[in-house]
Amino acid sequence: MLDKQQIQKMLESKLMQLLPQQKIKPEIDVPLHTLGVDSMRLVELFIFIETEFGIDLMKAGIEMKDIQTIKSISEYIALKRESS
Amino acid sequence: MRIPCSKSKRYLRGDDWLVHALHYNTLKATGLGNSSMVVLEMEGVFELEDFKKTIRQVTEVIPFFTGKVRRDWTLAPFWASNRKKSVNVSVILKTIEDDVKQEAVLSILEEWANKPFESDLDYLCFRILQVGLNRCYLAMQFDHRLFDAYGAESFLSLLEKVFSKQIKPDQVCKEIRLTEPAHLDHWRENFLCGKAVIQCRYKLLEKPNLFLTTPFKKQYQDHISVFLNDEETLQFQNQVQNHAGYLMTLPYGLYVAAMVFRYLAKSVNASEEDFLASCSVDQRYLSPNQPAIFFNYLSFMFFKISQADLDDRSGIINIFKQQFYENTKEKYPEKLSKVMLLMRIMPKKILGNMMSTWMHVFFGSFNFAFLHKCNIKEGFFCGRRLINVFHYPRIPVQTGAGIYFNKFGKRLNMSITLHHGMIDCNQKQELITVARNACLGISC
Repeated sequence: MLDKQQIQKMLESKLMQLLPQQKIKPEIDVPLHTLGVDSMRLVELFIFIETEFGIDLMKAGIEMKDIQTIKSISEYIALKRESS
Repeated sequence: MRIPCSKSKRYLRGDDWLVHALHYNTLKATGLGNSSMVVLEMEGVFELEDFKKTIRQVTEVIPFFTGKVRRDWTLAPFWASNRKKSVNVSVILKTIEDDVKQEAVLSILEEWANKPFESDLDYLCFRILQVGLNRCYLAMQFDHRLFDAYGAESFLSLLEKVFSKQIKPDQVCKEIRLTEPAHLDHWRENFLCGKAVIQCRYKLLEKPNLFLTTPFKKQYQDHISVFLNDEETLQFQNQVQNHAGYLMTLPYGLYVAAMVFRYLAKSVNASEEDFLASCSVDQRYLSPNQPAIFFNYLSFMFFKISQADLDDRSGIINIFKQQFYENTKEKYPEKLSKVMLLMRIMPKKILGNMMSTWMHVFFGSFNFAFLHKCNIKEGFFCGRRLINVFHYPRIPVQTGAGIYFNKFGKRLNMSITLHHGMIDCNQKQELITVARNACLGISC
């Protein structure tokens, strides 16, 4: 079972792939919009999460605080996986 | 099977070829090619001579401005540059008094956006509107065979870098992608993508869709600009957050566009059929190694909109979000790009004629785009402080309307393009109110 840190690393590398201008590892507690994430990239990230972790964030009834940073998304995924 | 091709040529992608066919088509139907315009609003008096010098320096070293399309032995179309020919980019200045209203300025800009290029081999033209001593507008009209909207902004940004001596003119070519592979491989995959795209289109066309096309095939297109100030843009963002969710600007923007199109449909007494919206998607992030300023990196997503659902804002936004997710998950824009690669085999006249029959199906009831981040940085352009950047896009003759958003700094702009004569002046004012209210969440 993946822990929070491992989930975080996977999300970081996916974000670097989605944001070509992001040359260094993105900070985990910075809001995604300040990193340059837009609607397209966010949905791409959601699809990655659904594929890798089986959680559909478009349907999960998430709040803004759950998806605003890499850290909060990792925590949310870890929590969801624990509870299922 | 991979066919060996030149590595030094700039081959056209499928979307480029589609744009060429569209150019042929538009030229035949209206006498005006497929060009759009981007406008920079600035403070002060524009320094024409310095700007002309920068244009000359940049266009002389970039090989694309004197080119035209050819096919090589593989039949793949490529951009053949003619280095011997000198580049002719016109820069025209118009001066008006300081006390004119904004409507008068916008009307001049609209007229410029509707002007044809002098020759079919001209791809770029600049016009400057000097309003008294305090304000000026730089309008860059560009042919879509050479730039898409995002590329046009990037080109202006490149001009600024040369003007402000951040890069030397002889280094300009390092900033742009000069070659593109022929993409003559992955045939089976491309054909399978074609199958998937056709199946998806049939699904979207099961129920009839509204296409506002026939009576409006005219050269002149009306452009309506809706400018939101900093506070209003913040209010728009709050609406996005509250009704669509964090960063879900695209689905909310599509909701606003659908409201605008519904008003148009009602204005021309159209039926209550569903709308089919095509949403332009930038494909640059798929190959990010070199900045792509020239040519097109475009694909589309499609959204089905039931007019009856538009009264329930939260409901329709959720439907858009779901369709957005499905389009992205099924990699619909990428698949469409691959199908378009196959279409390059068709001569542009044949593709153009085919498109004139089914283009309304391709582009939908209306075309929509949301340029999230302006490529021109806030601050100064050619020594003048930038106030705003906005667009005057043209739409294909068979499409009912084009509804586009772009953001510059903290300001959101909305451009609505219509065929001339579709609505009168009073209706245009009402349309602006509809658009503004939908952006700001004000119920009518």
